[in-house]
This record gives sequence, C-alpha cells and structure tokens, in this order.
Amino acid sequence: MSFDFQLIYESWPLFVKGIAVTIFISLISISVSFFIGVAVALMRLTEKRIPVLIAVSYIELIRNTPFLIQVYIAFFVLPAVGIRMEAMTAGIVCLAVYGGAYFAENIRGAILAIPRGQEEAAKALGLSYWKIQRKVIFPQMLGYLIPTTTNLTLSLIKDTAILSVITVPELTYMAQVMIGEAFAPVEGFTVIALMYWGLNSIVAAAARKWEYHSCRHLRVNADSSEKVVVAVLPETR
Amino acid sequence: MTQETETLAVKMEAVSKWYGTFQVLKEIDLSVKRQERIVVCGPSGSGKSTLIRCINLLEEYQVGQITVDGRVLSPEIKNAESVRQEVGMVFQQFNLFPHLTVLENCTLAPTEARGTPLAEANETAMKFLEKVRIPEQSGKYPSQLSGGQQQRVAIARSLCMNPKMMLFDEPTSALDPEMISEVLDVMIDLAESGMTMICVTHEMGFARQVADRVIFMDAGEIVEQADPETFFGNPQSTRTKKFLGQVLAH
Amino acid sequence: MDFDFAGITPHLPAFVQGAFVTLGVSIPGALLGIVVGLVLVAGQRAPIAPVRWASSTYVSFIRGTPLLVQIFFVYYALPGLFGFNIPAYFAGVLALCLNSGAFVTEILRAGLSSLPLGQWDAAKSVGLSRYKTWRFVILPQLFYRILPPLTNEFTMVVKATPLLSVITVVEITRTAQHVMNETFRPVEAFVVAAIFYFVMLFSLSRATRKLETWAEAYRA
Repeated sequence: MSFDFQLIYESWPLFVKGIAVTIFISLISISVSFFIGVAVALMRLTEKRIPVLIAVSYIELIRNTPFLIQVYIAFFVLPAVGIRMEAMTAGIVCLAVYGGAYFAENIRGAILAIPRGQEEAAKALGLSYWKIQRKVIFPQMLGYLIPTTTNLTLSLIKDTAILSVITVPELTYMAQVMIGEAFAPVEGFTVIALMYWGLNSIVAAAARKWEYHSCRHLRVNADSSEKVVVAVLPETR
Repeated sequence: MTQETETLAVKMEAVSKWYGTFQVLKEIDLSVKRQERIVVCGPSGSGKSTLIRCINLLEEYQVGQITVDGRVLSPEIKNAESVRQEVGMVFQQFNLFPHLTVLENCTLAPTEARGTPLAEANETAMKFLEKVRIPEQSGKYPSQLSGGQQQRVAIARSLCMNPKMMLFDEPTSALDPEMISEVLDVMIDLAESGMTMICVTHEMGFARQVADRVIFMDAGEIVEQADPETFFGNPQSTRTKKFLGQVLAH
Repeated sequence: MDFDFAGITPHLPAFVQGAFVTLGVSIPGALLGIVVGLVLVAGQRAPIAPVRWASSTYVSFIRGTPLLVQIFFVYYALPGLFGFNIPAYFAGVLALCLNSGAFVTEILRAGLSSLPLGQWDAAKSVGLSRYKTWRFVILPQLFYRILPPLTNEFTMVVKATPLLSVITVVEITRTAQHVMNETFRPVEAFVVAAIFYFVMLFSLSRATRKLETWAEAYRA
C-alpha cells in the first residue's frame, strides 16, 4: 500500500484549477439561491392563493427530486427548447434553482420565528416599515439564519461535485481526469476528499465567528429558557 | 378642530369594528380628557384590547371616527408613524427587543424615528430608566432581567418618545405575583405626574387608587363607566355587578 | 420540441425494477447506517481518548466531503487499497451506510440530550438499575424522539441513490440512462425518473411530518 506523493505533486495544478472552479460556482450559485429563497419565502408568506401555490409547487418539486435528476433534465431539456449553455453556466443555474428551494424554507422559518409582538412594539414606537425590518426583525433573524444557512451552504458546496457528471471542470471532475490518466484512484480521491474537507472546515469556522459576533444576545444567558440554537441537521447531502 | 376636541386626548365616535363577520366593537363612544386616567376592565373577548389598539392604529376599524390629540385617524391608516410617536404603548408580553441592550431598546426609536442625536437619546433613556428604578441594568440584555424588570424597561422605552398619552394592554397579566407591585408602583408614579393614561387591566386595587374613571366593557360595548367610588361602590348594571363579583371574589 | 411520452410506456417495467433496486440499496443502507451511527455515538462517549477522537474525526470527515466522492472512493479506491473488487451493489450500500451513519450519530446525540435530565434522576430515586433505566425509561422515550428525524434521514438516503448510477448500479437513474440510449428521448426518460422519485420522496416526507405530530404526544 503505497501512496504516490510524486503523482499528487505533479497533478497539483489540476486540483487547484478544480477547487477554484468549485469555489467560483459555489459563490455565485449560493448567492443567487439566497435571493431566490428570499423571494420565494416572501411569496409563500403572502397568504394570497396564486403566489402561495407557485411558491409551494416550486419548493415541493425541487425538494422532492434528487439534484442529479434535475441536472440531467436541465442538461437535456434546455437544448431542446433552444437554450444553449456552457456546462458551467448550466451547472450554476441548476445549483441556484436547487438551493433556492431550500433557502426559501430556511428564510420562512426565520421570519416565522420572530414573535408578532416584536413588529407591534416597534410599530407602537412609531418606527417606519423599513426601519423595523432592518433594526428589529432582521437582526433577530440572524440568530436562526446563520446556523441553518451555513449548513445549507456546506451542503451546496458538496453538491457541486455532482456537476462533474455533466463535465463541469470542478474538483471532482479534475480528479477523474487525473485518475483517468494515471490510474491512481486512491491518491486522487483522497486528495480531493481532503480538499473538500478543508474548504468546508474553513467555511464552518468563518460562520461560527460570524455567529459569535452577531448573536451576543443569545449567549448571555446560558440557561435562558429561550433556546435558539438550532439542531444542525443538513438539508441536502 | 373645535374647542372641545382641543382639550380631549382621545375621542371615539360610534366606532365599530368587525373581524370578518364577528363584531368586536359595537358603536363605541368614548371621550378621554388630557391628563385623565382611565381603567378599562371586562371579561376576555370583550374588545378592550382591541379598543386601545385602535387608538394607536395597531388595529383598523371600519365605522366611526377616532380623533387622537386633535388629529382624525382615517380608517385606512395613513401616516401612522407620526401618530404612534405621540402615543406610547406597553404590552402584556413586554415585547422588548431581545437583540438590544436595555439602553439600546430605549434609544432605538428616538434615534431612528426622530433623528435625535445618540448622546441626547442616551441621556433621556437614563433619566427614564431611573424613573422606573432600574438604571443599573442599562447594559444588560432583556433575557437577563426578570419579568417585572422587563416590563419596567418597556415602560421607560415608551416614555423615551415623550408621548402625549400612554396605553397599557394588561401590563401585569403575564407577571408572577411578586413582581406585579413593582410595575404598578411605576404606573402610579406616572399617573401622579400627570400623564394621560388608558389602562386595560384586572388590577382593581390600582383602579381604585389611581383612576379618574373606570370603564366596564362586555361583548364589544361600553356597559358602564363611572368614577371608582361609584363604580365599585354602586354599580348600576347587572353585568357589571356580575363581573365585579367574579373579579373581586379573591 | 416534441415530446413522446407514449414511447416511454413500454419501458415502465424497467423503471419499476429500477425503483426496487433503489429501495434495495436504500433500506439496507439506512438500516446499516443506524448501526454505524450507534457505534459512532458510543465511540464519541468512550472513556478512551483516541476512540473519541477517531469517532469525531470520522463524523467530521464524512459530513465535510461530498457523497459522490465517498462513493467513488469505496468503489474505486478501496479495491486499490485492499486488492479486491467490490460489486457495485455492495459498494453502493457500503458507501450509503458509512455516510448515513455519520448523520445518524447527530440524530441520536440530539435525541439523548433532548431527554430531560429529570428522567435519570427520577429513575434513580425509584431504585432502577442502570440497565433497567435504559430499557424502561430512556430507550422508549428516545424512540419517539428519534423516529421522525430517522425517517427524514431515510428520505435523504433515497434522495442520494441516483449517485450510485455513476458506479453502474441499475437503479432508477441508471435505468433512465439506458432508456434514453434506446429511445433517444432523454427528456421523457428523465422526467419519468423524476416522477418516480417525486412520488417516493413526497410520500416519505409526508410520512415524516405525520410521525412528528404522532411522536409529539409521547414527549415530555
């Protein structure tokens, strides 16, 4: 059982390119998903029949079908309706649409978690709508949002690996290229596993720092009856 | 603006409100003079909370007219913020902003809604926190305070906007018994300083001590209103007598 | 854009077979995953520090790496390390259970810590032994708490099975690829696959929600 470090050293540029693409795709699609999620969550909360129907259909459809299937469908449907995209663009679009449905549920949960009395008290003091959202509602949502959104972000970063099946040149695809040439699956998959692990660990640590700074009010009472720390179970694999 | 409305803090004329098909306020007529202290009592569902929530436009109403501090409130709630800045409200559930310290809770509205400079807002806040007797808690978060302390902060928070009147929606109903008196003491101080107050409460001792007028509501109507002596000593309506019998029994 | 769903219907039996394969990997994968999870939870609480460290590191590693990479590793790299080939089906089940186990650990851990401490105290004060406490007080309550999240985890396992198509397990997605190659109608093939998945996953998520309400009644 020998580990070919020389091979890894030689293939390193390939892996670096791969993870750069992974990070690039993640950044764009996760940002877009977030905005899609906000829009869909607000639609879901309007209580008017048509927006709610659209929002619920989108959420249930996306969440109850596997990502790979969505990718394949997009890959084949889009050209059929005349939309020609590069693999990477298609990948970003798919991941954004996929993530949007999950973000929507997170954000809706965060909005619903704020007691109505908060908005009323702020109104009673004479604050305007936007001031209320910015200064009272949104800061409170962070306590709920940061753990759940981080979880989701980590899952979506891992899901970029699935895009390798439609030849998006991200990290997993690069590993397959390297393994295809050098017949070294052990080295190849081990290295990329460690790289994904490293990337996710960095993101998770950054999120913890952010939570530490924005949620002081949740930490002051360790035994407070108001437990806001959310059990961190991921939404996707 | 007639002579009469100039001296009135609140005037409600034939105000009716429905939730769907259920009528929660039935042709309410009410006049509150400046510096008057009113206590509103009645069984659950009588509409007393809804009544005061109409005064600061947290609720809309369909029929009638409400004039607050000389301004007519239109049923479509236009320009609500400027009205609400003049009317303070204290809630049963306190509704303090958990992500802000006590001091920040008090300075948020003056700085954000009125543009008061922070230093001035801080001074005002400390002044009112002293009035409610908890200046030393100003750096703490609401979750670190007891219920009674939180409610007193809520009172200070509303006072920091220098409102013309204060509305209280069952301020002590969510408190443990031993904390009720600390909040009532603050409310008594406030009443004696000349603030116009409308309180929805079950605390009859408070009503007897402080109120100029006690109003009994049932099923959306004002059934009876009188000064405390008359109200408690010689209630007119059978419904009032029944309610008082239940409330004063213990 | 012309779609011919009628042309797909002769292939429906193949999809049904694929669905059985999907369940055939999901169910063992999830069940074994629970076993793995139990081992890891025990490991996290072991008195020996290296065991604790190993368990935590394993969980962190599995949760920090994509399932696809783990599947590739089990199918391609393990044979390279240990010198024997694993058939695709077993590699799939193995990868799924090793993955699921790490998430089950968290479910079990959260379930245990959600039990009020008073339960242990109460059991002690009526004189129950450690074993009896677990058997009659803790485990029954734990059961109600972990059942909904475990069902959700099973849903996640089913949702992950399409990835096994890349190591040639003939489940629904791989079937769709075969049908696509035969009929030259990729859209119809994958849409049918999507419908199969949707029906399964939607029913499972409904079941999970029902379980949550049902289990609520048995919680403190």
